[in-house]
Formats: sequence, structure tokens, C-alpha cells
Amino acid sequence: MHTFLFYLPFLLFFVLLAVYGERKIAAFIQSRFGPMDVGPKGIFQTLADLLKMIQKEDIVPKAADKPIFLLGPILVFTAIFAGFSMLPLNANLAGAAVESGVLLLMAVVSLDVLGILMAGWGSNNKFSLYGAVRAIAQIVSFEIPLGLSVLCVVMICQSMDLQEITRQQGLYTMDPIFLFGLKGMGIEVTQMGGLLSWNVVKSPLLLFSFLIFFIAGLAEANRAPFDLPESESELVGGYHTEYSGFRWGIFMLAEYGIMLLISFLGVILFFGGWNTPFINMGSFQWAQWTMGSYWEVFWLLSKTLILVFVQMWIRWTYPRLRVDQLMTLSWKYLTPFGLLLVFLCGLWKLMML
Amino acid sequence: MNEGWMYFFGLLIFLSGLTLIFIKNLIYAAFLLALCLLSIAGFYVIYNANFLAVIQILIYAGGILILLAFGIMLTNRSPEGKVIVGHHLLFFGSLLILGMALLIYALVGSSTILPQEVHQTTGQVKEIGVRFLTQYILAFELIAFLLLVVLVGASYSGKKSHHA
Repeated sequence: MHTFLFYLPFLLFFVLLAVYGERKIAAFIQSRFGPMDVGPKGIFQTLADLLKMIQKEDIVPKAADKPIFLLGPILVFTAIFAGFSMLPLNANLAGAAVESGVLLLMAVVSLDVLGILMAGWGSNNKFSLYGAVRAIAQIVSFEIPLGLSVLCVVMICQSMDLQEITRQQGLYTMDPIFLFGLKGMGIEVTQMGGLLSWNVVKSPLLLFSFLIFFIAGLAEANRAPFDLPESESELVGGYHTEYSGFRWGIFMLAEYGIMLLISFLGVILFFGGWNTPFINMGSFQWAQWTMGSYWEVFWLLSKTLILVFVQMWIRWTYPRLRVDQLMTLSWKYLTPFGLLLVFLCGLWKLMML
Repeated sequence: MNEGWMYFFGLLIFLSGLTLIFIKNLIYAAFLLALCLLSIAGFYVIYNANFLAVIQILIYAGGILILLAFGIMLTNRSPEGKVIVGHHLLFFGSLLILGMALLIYALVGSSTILPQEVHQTTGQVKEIGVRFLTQYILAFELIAFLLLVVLVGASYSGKKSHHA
């Protein structure tokens, strides 16, 4: 019920580590050292950056639209953090008890577009406005494939409550689980739990849904290769060009926040949420041994952090897309494939019944 | 408790609605409209219509409002950097207000349309889905068809013409 008491400090702590981690991963991928001066292996670099950032003056440009300019970053972060309230933590700690949890999560998170618009328009700067227009066009169009891929999971699970969706993917499930969801094959794996009852294994089509979800999620988070809104080489800094000090920090917080949120959502919808990956085999009850409130939190967080790592890995591997390529990807490839997958998942669900 | 929230959201709707009409800066009006629509979602939550509240946020605040804001952003700015609107058509406007006020007065006088709480709090989504595919199937299909027509029309008119 009060999971946000965990998620808020966790998010702040995560951002501190993730910025450092991202720089180290980038350095590793590009064969250089990354931060290495502050503390052992440069581990306090982010802390030092943070201290510097807090001391900076909060500058408001003279020509800016002051109330909108000041409100923008706060709205962006609020919208994204509101999304965290729906996430469960383990079997006993569910998020907000909303029946249509996934839908509400997506609705609330899509409100961050308003904040970006405020920031871009309020700055009264042409680069900021271009950045904001790009960000909004991107977020609005990628919301459709994202919604379609989530819809596949909702159809398989017949629930929109994140806690209920997670519960169906492990030992605590109410319904029997068959291998690959095919009841006709008659191999029941309900008691084996672990990997075999995760959604991607229960109905393997969801693996393709996950690909769409992940690509659309990257675009939603404005991460590379979809970081056109803040592409440094052409737009200076996008919609947060004019911000300084702590307000700029809030934008960073929001960016890492939505990365984390998308990863959490991906893990909960496709990879079993807080369920263990180990399988009960004969007298080795691996799944039984690795379940319990602390284990469950551990599984949820570790799976999520792996996904975050993949996001960073992608960022430093692929070049940025052009605007028209971005729109082509969303409307000509992801959306039709998403529609097809919704149809196929419906058929798969019929075989599961 | 509930009553307090009702007055809170009601006040928000009232104030943001009024200001958005009288404010001259168009972009402020768009953001005030967002506040107004979100407060209406709050009203839905108070009366237990949870699914409706989510849809209100998703469609109105997240979808339609963004389109509106996009429209405003792509219009030309005046030299001072603000999009300004004036007051026009005051006569017909006030006539419309008078008509609406009379209509609302008559409706409130006849009771039975006051907001009612939804008593069923769980399984709303399922109920709505079942109703859509049984009781309201014609309306549902017609709306789906209309949206398809709009989509095809939009993509047709967005296509570059080969003759020009």
C-alpha cells in the first residue's frame, strides 16, 4: 500500500548510481576510462556533480514565460513519479489498489508531455521549442505501439492490475499453468513455477510484444537511439537548454526515472515481476527456496536493473535516427506489427483456455 | 472526507474554467483546460467511477489537449512572443450563456439528474466490456467505423498529391 515510501528514496539513490554507471558503461564500450578521479574508481563523481549543481544559480531568462518556465520541470517529474505508485514490491506489498492499474500508469505518465510543452514553450527559445515539438510528436506516436504491446499482456492475463498480473506468473497463481500455455499438450507446470510460468514463456508470442514494448519504451523515455528531442549536436540541449541548477537536475531525475519505470513495467508485464526465475525440480525446490518477501524484492530489482543496463548498452551502441525514420518506425512497422500481435495473442489465449 | 474533496475539485473546476475563458494568453488557457479536465477526473474518482476517471486522463488530458497545444504552438506568435486572443461575438456568446443557464436551471429544478454514486466498485472494466459487446454493440461498432473513416481520410489528405 505504501510502496512509494520505498520507491522515492530508491529512485534518488538509483539516479546517483545510474549516472555513474552510465558513464562507466559508455567508457567501457568506447574503450576509455570514464570518471576515475573522485574517490576509488571515481565512484563519488556523481555526488560531486550533484553538489556543484545544487550550488548553481537558478536562472530564469528575461524573455521566458516565468510561471510556465518554473512549473514545467516539476510537472514532468510529478507525472513520472506518479507512475511509480502503481508498482507492486512483493507478494504482500501491492501498489495503489487500482483495478485498471496499467492503464492509469500509462495515462499518468503520458501527462509528462504537458510539462515538456511548458518547458519548451516557456523558455522562449527556438531550440527549446524544436526539442519540445519533437519530444511530444515522438511520445504521442510511440504511445500507440506501447499501448498495443501492453494490451497483448492484458489479454493473456485478463487483468489490468499489476499485482494480479505478477501473481499469475509464479507459484501463487490461482489457475493451472501449462507449458507454453498450450492446454492441449497437457504438461502442467503450476508447481514448478520459476521461469516456466513467466508471461514470455507462458505465451511465447509475448516475446515479440516485449520487443515492441522495449523499443517504444526507449522512445517514450527519449533515450538514444531516439534522443532527437535533446540531440546535442543539432539542438544544443532540446527542451532543457535554458534550465540551470536544480531545475535542470529535476529533468535528469525524470529522465532516469522514466527509464526505471519502463524497465519495472517490462519486468512486471513480461518477465514475472517479483517471481523467482528458478524452477522446482524433484527434491530441489529451487523456486520454493528463493521466494519470500526479501527474495521477491531482490528479484524485482535485479531484473529491472538488468533491463536498465540493456537500455544503456543500446544508447552507446546505436546511432541516432532521423525524424522521418522515427515516424516511419512507429507508424509503418511497430503499429501494424502490434495490431497483428494483438490478434495472434487473442488466438493464443483461446488455446490457453 | 469525500465531501471535502468534492468541494475542492469543484472549486478547481470552477476557477480554472472561468479563468480559461477570460484569460487572453492562449497557451495559459490550454494549461488551465488541462487543470479543469484533470479536476473532472477527480470528480469521477469521488463518485467511484474509477475506469471513467482513467479514461478521462488518458483521452482528454493526455490526447485531445496535446493536439490543442500543438495547434497553438504551430500558430504564429505576435511580436511580444505571446499568442493573444480578444473578445469577439459578445452578443451571440451572451445569448448562448443565457440559454445554457436556463437549461441548467430547468434541469436542476426537475431533480433526478444530480450526480449519483456508482455502487459497484470492483469488476467495472469487465462490466463495461460486456455491455459494449452486447447491449451497446451498434453504437460501439458505429463509433469504431467512424474512427476508421477518419483515419483513412486523414492519411489520404496527408498524402502528397502526385498531380500538383
